[in-house]
Amino acid sequence: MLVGTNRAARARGLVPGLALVEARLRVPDLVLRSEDPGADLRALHRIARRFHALTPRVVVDPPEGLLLEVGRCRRLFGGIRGIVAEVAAIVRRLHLEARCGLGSTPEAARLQARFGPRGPIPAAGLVEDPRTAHLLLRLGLVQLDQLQKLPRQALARHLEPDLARRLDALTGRRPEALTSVPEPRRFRLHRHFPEPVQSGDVLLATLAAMVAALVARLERAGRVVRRLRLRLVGADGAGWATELVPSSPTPDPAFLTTLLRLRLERGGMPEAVAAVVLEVVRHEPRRPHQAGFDGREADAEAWRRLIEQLRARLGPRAVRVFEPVDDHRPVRTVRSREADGVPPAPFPRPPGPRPLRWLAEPRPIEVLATVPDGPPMALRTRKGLQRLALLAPMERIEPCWWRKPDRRDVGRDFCAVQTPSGTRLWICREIAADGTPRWYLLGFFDR
Amino acid sequence: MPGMRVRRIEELRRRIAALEGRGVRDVVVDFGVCEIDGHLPGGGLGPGLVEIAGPAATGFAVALAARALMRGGQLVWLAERKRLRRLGFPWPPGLRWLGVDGRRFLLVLCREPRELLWAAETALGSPAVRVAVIEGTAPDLATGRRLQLAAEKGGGIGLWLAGASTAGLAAARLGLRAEPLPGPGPAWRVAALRVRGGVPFVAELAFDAGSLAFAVVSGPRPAAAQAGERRAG
Repeated sequence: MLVGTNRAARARGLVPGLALVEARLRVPDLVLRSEDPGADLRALHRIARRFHALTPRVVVDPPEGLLLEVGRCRRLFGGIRGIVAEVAAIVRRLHLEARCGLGSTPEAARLQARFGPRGPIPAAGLVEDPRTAHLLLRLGLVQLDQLQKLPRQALARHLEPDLARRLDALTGRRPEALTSVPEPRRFRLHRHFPEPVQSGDVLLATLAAMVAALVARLERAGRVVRRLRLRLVGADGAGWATELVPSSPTPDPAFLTTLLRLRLERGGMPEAVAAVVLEVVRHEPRRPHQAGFDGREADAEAWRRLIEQLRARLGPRAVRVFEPVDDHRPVRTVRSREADGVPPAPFPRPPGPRPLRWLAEPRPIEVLATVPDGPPMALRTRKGLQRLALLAPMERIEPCWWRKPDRRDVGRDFCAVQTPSGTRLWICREIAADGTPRWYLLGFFDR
Repeated sequence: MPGMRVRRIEELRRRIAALEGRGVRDVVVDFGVCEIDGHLPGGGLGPGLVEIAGPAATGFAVALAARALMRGGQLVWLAERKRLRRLGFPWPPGLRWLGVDGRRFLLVLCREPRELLWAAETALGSPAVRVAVIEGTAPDLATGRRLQLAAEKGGGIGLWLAGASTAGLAAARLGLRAEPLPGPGPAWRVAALRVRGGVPFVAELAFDAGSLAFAVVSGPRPAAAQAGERRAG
């Protein structure tokens, strides 16, 4: 007999209770799995853990239900609608189908989920035994409040003993005792402000206390922060989140607070903050400190901290280091990247003089040479014609013959020249497609 | 007897330096040439701000930075992005040509003067930074003093590239001006126009990137101590 079907099966007319033979007749390519309540329960526990993102109290309600206590964390998600949307998103991500019900007691929520918003919950919804349900119908007890008016002992004696208890649980007269699924060890703190906070000082003081508490908790577990996520909820319910990844895994709480402060100063956070959630998203076991803590170690640590502070305040793209690139073309020998605490490789000494200043756009200039491919003789500037002196032999750089010809990759002559006043320039000549030489200014040596 | 007099003069120099509030502290960078170093109070440049102006300000600043890095530490270059796009970005092969390895170079790009000043103060205050090259509009006296204090705390030197601006950096103890000299290798005419606790001078120096050493071509000669003076000697 079929006990459970998925949506596709139901669309083909298969419902629980149908005999297997009948089912196979209707859908020849049916996929069957034998019932395994143990595995179902374990799966339910696994699914329950996903909902710990919303609330710490998640209760497994076999055979196929989960109870989430959302009264206290509503505000973090922007109210009931936000919570329901989050639940729906999690369910979608898990590729499950679920019915959702809200109630002021667990039993009320259960019934809402089963009978949905389609109308008032019938009294028969409270009983499990179909014979009792039938009896209720015969007695004319259709609505829940009719059941409420009956004396409890009568319910227990004539109908179901459990019914009275469930009725009390529904109204909240005698609340159920439920055990929640233990939350995996999470290092997360959240604080609500009774009034939305606009002062940066108050927010920072709260953050400092939260960071200190989290780091202490981690330390007790023998771990250190690797990635920190801060989420601020504005007074209008809008959320704003940012992440911090300190490059060294042994940050102290004061430094983490400084980094958070710099990040907030960069801007973007809501003006009035109603709630703060601070979570250590990734942590790793603490490595014992190396013995022999000498001056160089302290300097390396200070350097990492400086980079962290600059990145937090100015943004990661504003703090850059440079790596050498092995290329025979002088303009391609450098690559810049964000500084992340990894030291770059050493630079080789260039084969010829190189300027200190690199112009982002090469400037076309007018240069006179006695022979078309000879050395440059004079440069025309605003002050007139200036004689040029070569500081080093010209460097002739050919295009990459091992690649397909590229429009921009042409042969160039690079020259370090000096004007009579002493200004040193780096210029290059390229032969355009029509054979005429074109000169460009690439950089300055001293300016 | 002459030996004792020299020793007494040295002792007096140290006490005067201590009375000035600077004390016997480390020299971050010196010229390596006793004629020049003798003109500088303390025998070299101590932690603090140095203003460098003139058409060859960047070249001379990088040569000084290369010498300073001989004692360890890192070089941080701070500037507004717009300015670098206009004047040109500091280029690691060029730095290497003057003896600064790209490994010890960090470039910090700011969007506005306020960010630049904050970043400069933070970098100068860090003990890992030996030299900070800062380009931008000169700050007022109060902010300049804060930068000076940050540099003294962190033990580094801040080289402020004045560029075309004529308003001097009043908080700097030393104001230099560098012009390029005709010649094959890096060589500059360096004028120390404002030397707190010393005498202004001008000299022609050449720099050897291999040994990171200055060589005196001519001078030092006394110079007229005007901040706006163009020609000296």
